Amino acid sequence: MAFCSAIPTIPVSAGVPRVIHGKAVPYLLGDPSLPAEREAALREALTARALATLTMEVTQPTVFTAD
Amino acid sequence: MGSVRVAHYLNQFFGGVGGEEKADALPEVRTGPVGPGQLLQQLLGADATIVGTVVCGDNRMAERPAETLPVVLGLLRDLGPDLVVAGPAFNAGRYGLACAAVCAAARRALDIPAVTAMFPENPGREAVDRSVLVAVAGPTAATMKADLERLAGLALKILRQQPLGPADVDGYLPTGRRVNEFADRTGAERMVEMLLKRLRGEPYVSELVVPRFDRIPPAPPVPDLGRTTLGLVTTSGVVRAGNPEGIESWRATKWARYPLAGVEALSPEAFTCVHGGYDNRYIRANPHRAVPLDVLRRYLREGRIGRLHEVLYTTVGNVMPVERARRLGREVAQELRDANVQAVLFTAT
Repeated sequence: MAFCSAIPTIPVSAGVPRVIHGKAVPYLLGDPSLPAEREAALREALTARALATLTMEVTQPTVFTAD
Repeated sequence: MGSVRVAHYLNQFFGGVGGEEKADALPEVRTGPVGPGQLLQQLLGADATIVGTVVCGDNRMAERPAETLPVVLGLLRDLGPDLVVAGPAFNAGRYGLACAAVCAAARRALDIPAVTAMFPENPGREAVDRSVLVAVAGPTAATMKADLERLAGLALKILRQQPLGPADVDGYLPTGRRVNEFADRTGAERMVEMLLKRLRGEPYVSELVVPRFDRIPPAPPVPDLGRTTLGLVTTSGVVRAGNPEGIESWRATKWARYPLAGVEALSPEAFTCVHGGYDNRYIRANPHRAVPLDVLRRYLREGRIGRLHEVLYTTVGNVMPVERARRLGREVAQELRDANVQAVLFTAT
């Protein structure tokens, strides 16, 4: 499971192994201040990162960022 | 003891700034007590004076702690307090984390005692520094008065440097500190008595608290996403338009399953968001901001994902008791297992 959260502290404290740091609480995988194309690119970057973590070995709660 | 100076920390809601639409509010300081601080001041009496209140938006603190916490700390320092009080945060996760961070920072940077209050299941509990005392609070503000009485009682004990009683007597979350005391019977006698009570189904109180940490063994990595069946689960509160299943906007009791076959995108006409814990207008305008089906559809076409389990599992993860979250999680996990789903993309908030 890849777990996307705007506040990684919460899933990490609950012991979730693969945590992806989303953009913000009211728009986890987006940013309404961006033009549509750039927002779509941001969402894709976060989603791609989340999917990529599924192929990675982790041994403990680990936070991944899109950068 | 002369009247000592207390600084109070509140989020934007209890500070009277506004609801989720103001959750980005910058830290600001008010003179004297605000909101719950009014009653807290009455309970503290003449011995302690709330000289000022620092108010900050929950999202501001949760999303930008590195830049926000120092500002909050500066405002607190300017109040010249002898004690920092934060909350009560009840079972509000972001608020609890903020109270924990503010208290820990006050302890470290200002070298003064700090006390907060929260529901025992608040995620902020895990973030609380051991040097910070946490009064037990109810899950919601319905118990505000009793919670503030407990908080004020602890604050006064700290200020008067009186010894604390046991956690369950004085109403704070156990700190792990052990104090020796004499018992009138040996451990063997007490143990047998406890065993007999247990066998008779009578209530008993263990002398040893066994910590209950979830150990979640990480799933092994999937070898190839192009051959993997992916499941999609969310606690963001995205539901079908009209919320026909009636999923509650907080303390949700159920989850829903929506077939995704033939659904190319989550349009704002067909889907909405009922999460009551954040300003959900941006998700309602574009549900992909919480559930990235648009990206996943493209990846499926491009072969970057083998297959999508064509169901969206959804609920609202707002002030949900941990035990209920476990139950709902088990139910959804069983469905995923039955459908031979090999990996899951989970979007929270």
